[in-house]
Amino acid sequence: MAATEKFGPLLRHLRLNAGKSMGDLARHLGVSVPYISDVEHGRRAPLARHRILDTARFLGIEPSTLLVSATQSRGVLDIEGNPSEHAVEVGMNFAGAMGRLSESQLNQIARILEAEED
Amino acid sequence: MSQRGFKADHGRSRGVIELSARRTREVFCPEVGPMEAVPSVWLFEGLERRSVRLQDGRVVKLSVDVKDLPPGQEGFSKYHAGKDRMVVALSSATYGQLELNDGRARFTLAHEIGHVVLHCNELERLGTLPHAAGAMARAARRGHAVFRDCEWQANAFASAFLMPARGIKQMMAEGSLRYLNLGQALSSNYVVSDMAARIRADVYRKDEAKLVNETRY
Repeated sequence: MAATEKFGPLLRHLRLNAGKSMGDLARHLGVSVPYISDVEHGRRAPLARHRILDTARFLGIEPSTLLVSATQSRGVLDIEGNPSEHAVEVGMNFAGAMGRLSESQLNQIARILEAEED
Repeated sequence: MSQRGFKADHGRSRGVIELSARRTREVFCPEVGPMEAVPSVWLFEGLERRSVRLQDGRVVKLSVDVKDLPPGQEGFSKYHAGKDRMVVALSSATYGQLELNDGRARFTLAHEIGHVVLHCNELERLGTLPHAAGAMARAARRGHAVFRDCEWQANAFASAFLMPARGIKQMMAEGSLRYLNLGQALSSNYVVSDMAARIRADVYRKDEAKLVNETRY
């Protein structure tokens, strides 16, 4: 399934593949079953980043596909923590330029971020 | 669930509905034999990977939904034109009961499956009507025969889907059911309410041959 798939159907697909019911996921996240159904039908916004990470752990999958899909569905990026003014400026510049960057430039940035996560 | 609904496109005998329920069971729950109870939550969630065929040959995928519905409304089925999907929806309370393997919730689910299987053409037509017109059509109470009634047909489907006549016959042939206690045995074996089991037992006693042979009349 492509990363560009809408968040709701993607979540439902991954959840069913993992053998988890809507009730299982709702209980794990501490939300109602209609909430999960609404998200999967696209009537509610994609899950927040921390819930996606929690969901991915629960389903035993990598979170990247869901995170990318959520970002594309929302059209906005989640900002974690309390970044400095300079960090926000760099981030905004990156957001504006990312559509024009080459694969090699994106790989360079990905390597910097991976090194930072380690 | 005894309320009369709108008039179905086709009248259906119990034998015809038995055949439709058996075929649906074979496709939707291929791993479950006629003497076994179908699953609950996983039957519902698994509908997401099933489809129905309309009269014009078009295949429409199913989808499931769980919603907060007004008290007393256990579920519904509809055609979602925007997504081109037949939707089986359960109330949050019914879904919760389904997780507990409750007999009434299982019947509600089977009843809604009956609607999307038997009445997909009607749903497709009503679902694409403007809301007010659709609601009026759904609410219409006409003096049609019972075998032509959508709610009666969906109930008969649910009964046959949950408690197949061939399974009952097989169990009786093996001596694993006592005929006098048929209702009780059906309730326990197929995980249905006492009332649904009693009604099925009465229908089975009356129409055994028609049901088992899936005859048209």
